[in-house]
Amino acid sequence: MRTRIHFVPALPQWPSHLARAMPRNIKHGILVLAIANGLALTSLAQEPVSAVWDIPAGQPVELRVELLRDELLTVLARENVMHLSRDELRRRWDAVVDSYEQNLAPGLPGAPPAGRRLRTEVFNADFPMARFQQIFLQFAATFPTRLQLSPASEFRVQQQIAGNEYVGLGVQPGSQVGYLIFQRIVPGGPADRAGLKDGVEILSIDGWDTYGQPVNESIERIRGPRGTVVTLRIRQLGKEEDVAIRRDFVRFDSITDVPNRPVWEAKWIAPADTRVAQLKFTRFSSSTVHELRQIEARLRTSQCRLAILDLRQLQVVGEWQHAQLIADALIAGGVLWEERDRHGNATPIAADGDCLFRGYSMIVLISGHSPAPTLAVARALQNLRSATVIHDFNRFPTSSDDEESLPADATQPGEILGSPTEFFPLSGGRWMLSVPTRHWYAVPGKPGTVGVRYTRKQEMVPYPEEFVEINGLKRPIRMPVGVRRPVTTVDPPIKAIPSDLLPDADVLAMQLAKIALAEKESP
Amino acid sequence: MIRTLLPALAIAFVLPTLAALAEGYPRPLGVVLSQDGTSAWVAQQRDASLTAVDLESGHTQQWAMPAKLLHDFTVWTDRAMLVLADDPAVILRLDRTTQPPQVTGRWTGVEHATRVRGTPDGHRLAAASLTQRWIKLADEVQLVAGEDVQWQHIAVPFSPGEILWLPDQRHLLVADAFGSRLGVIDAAAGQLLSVREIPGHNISGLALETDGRNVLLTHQSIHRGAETSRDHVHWGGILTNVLRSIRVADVLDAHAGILDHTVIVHLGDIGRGAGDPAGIAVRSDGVRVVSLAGVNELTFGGENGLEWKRVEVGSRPRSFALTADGKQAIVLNELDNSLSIVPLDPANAEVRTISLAEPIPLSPADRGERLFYSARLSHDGWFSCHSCHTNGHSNGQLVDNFTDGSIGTPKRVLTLRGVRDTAPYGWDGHLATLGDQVRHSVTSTMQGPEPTDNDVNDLAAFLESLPPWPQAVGIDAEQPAIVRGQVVFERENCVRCHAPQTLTTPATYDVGLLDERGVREFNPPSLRGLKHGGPYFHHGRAETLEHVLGEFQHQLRQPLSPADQADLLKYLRSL
Repeated sequence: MRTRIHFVPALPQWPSHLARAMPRNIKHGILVLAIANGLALTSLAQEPVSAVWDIPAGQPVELRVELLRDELLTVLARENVMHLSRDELRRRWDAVVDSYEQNLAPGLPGAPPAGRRLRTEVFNADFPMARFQQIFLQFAATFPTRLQLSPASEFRVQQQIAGNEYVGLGVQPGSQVGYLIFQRIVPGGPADRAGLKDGVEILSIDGWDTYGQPVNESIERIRGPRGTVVTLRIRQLGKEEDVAIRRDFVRFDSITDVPNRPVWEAKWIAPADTRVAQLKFTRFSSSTVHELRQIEARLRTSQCRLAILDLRQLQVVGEWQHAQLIADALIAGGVLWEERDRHGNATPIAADGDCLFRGYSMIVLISGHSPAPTLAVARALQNLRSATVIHDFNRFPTSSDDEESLPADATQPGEILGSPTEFFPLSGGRWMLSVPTRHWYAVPGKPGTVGVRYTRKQEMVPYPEEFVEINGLKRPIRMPVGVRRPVTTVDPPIKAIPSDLLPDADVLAMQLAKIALAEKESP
Repeated sequence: MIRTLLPALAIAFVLPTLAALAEGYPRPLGVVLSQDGTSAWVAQQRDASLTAVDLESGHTQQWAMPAKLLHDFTVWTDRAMLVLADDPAVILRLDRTTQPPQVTGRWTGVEHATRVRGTPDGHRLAAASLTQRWIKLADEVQLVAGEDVQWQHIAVPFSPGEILWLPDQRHLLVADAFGSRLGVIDAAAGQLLSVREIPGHNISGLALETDGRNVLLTHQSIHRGAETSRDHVHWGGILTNVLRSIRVADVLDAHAGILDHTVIVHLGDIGRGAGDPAGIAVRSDGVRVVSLAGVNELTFGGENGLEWKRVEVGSRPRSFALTADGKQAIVLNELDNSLSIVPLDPANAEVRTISLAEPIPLSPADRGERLFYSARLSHDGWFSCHSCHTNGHSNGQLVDNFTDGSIGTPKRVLTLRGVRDTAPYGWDGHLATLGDQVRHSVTSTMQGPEPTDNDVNDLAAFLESLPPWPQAVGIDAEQPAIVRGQVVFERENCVRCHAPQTLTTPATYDVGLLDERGVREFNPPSLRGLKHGGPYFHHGRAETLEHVLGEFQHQLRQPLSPADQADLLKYLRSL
């Protein structure tokens, strides 16, 4: 007997007769219907059915998982990601499954006998799929490169954010205890335009009571395609009302000025020195280069001749592609890095001959937590634009100061900078597999480029030892500890400025800017 | 009755109505103001006529030119304007001050020329041939010697499009008609001094700043690393429309970096792209004026490019002229056959339109042409079909679009000339008809709204009307080598994939090349007009045909002898 399986996108509102007939294993926008007797299919035929597979009869969910696994392994083998054949990948997967099953807790479907400890909590109606995800994570962990499997809806949101094309209401929900609360309303977003204020309480979403519900489910209900309307029952300023809001693009600026003014009020010029532009990056996205163009145009008639690019606080980093576009926009010519594809072919990734802020000197601030794409951009600026890069170990310090940072003499050739990913739809587009298919390698840097390590640590300074003699024995007056005081190190040291006068990396950047401008202006 | 202007005689003839002249769409070429600024001259390409338009009353009068076709029409000096005519091929100097116009000079020997420009002092002329890749120059002495000019012939290694005399009136800047190259010619020495590249293509306008220190260019730039996804189109990540200034000193110094002092103004903004910038003019107070041919607008503003005013005009505005006081721009709408009189005043948007002829019914190909040049087909008006397929050919750039079903696999833009005979379409040949290709390009590459069936049919009709490149007009001395080269072509079995007459075949072949996703089989592009193509292969890594045969040994069983290679190259360049 063969069973026909239809993959149908989950609908926001299911017809009630179908809702009753639905199996309880709906997750991430996928409904799998095993059609043995034509149940409900005639009604469903009106809905988009994106894939129809004939498979041997069996447990539909289990089969779905097997199909997903097979597809996943096929893609990995085809893309030559790990240089492993499909059979080798399958053996590796099976080994992970064996290991996983041995570590499962008792009492769950398919779990091993009592006595084993639960390693990961799995409480989900769609147990086989949750189990699959757990196995995938362990499988992915056996590879040196990062694999990611995301439900299509989540992937879509990630892409929208990276592309600065996010569609939603423009709200930041807070943690949910009673009713849902929007902690922050994005200025200019649809919720803002509808009059919602920070801290507004959301009593219901399209009639669905939010009280005590998981915040993730609330978020899922708020999301939807552009142009669709969500009706919220809100409570703010002691008043309850229904508000209908049309979902629309919510734009996030990726660069702010230092006082964090909105883009239309931002000045970009350092208050302390009008020759210095200060640009603080909060994210890399598809709009970043556009924003840089706008800022450059606004500064064109200013006195600015040096720009401080602060990359320390990037919270959201788009795709690796954005790092390439941003580096290309800021650098006039030269090889940014070398790309090696899945077949080992090497291609130099070169910047074109144009650059923004031509003629400007540049100082770049990065932190101990700067994500790899920002480091790649900083390195390229250091190599090809002679930017001074300040690695700020005071801000978001790494666990060890010895961790990888920019060496003073630019990059080591051959060092891997990062691995851009490609996305492959699985299960008829219900899942997206993200796989690194290329690697970026550092190219030799220009001699003489400058990297500065700024470190400010609390060091224990012991009290001077004082003793008192009691009964002929020397005893310390107080506990032999000391005070903690900040100690600043600038490496290499700047002759003109004692490090004590550099309480943070921003001051260091401004001081270096003044030195650079003085050199530039000297005859 | 149609009368013809006679050379060098102060005789002019009033013509009857336009309807008596026009067959099909007349296609105006350029606009020049009369010296007193009261009227504008417009040249019509297909019916080889000149129309005088009274700017106050809108009254028009038309004169026939002594030729069957016109290729260019431009201002020369305070008193003179130039017409480049064909059949017979001739450059005519006309008096700007009189009406009817008088022919005051006539020079032959410019067969295949496509552009003409003279120095403002009236002492030199330059003609360019896009198809034959040459510049011809003549100075005052040669010009006064008579009609049959002894032109100085200079070959250029690209297809010349726009040309501009630099302020010293000795050096000529030559822009690539499709790609990114700029050449500089020293007319006094008769030498090509330099050929350099800028990051861009579609160099559609050249002008000098009023102080003569900078040259301004309008062009477009495609940014590597971005694909034609909606977000990259939306944020100007994939293609930008640019007004660039370059120092004249850097242009003249062959060893200088041509971009060392370049400044770019990015035209347009999100939500309102400025597709296909074309003509440029600079007002005496430094205000720059640019026509946006893809979105049918004129835009003007200051140096930093912020808050430029944009004014709607007619269809495909490229050429325009500023009035002497700089208060108005007279814009020629090529696909409307009309003039728009635009006040260059941020506070005044009252545009007056003068139609140059009664509207005529448009054929599907005519309608398709309007769509082809319209950036409205793309998301927010960032670019048109022409932006990549420059005037139906190719800009030679790599673009990462979804035509091959993948991203991260940028491929060279293919020519559309002669495309009627070269199905299937796309590098992998998976699009069977031009209609399929058009629909796919509009929705996925341009991220535009779904075109109607009529639009698709019209666009396909226009593409089908694009002729293949004409065969090169070789020097007779090269004919034996070309014939020998054809023998090599056949001997090496190049005809297996590039079969006569179209020099392509409908199949796909594995020729040892692969793209970033491992695709190995490609549909061979037609070799017609090969010398206008390049760089070569889907990845554009073969800069020249020499690289194709040398470094890449493209489908050669063994390396060719130098003599065979030279002959084969001559044959390939003659196609």
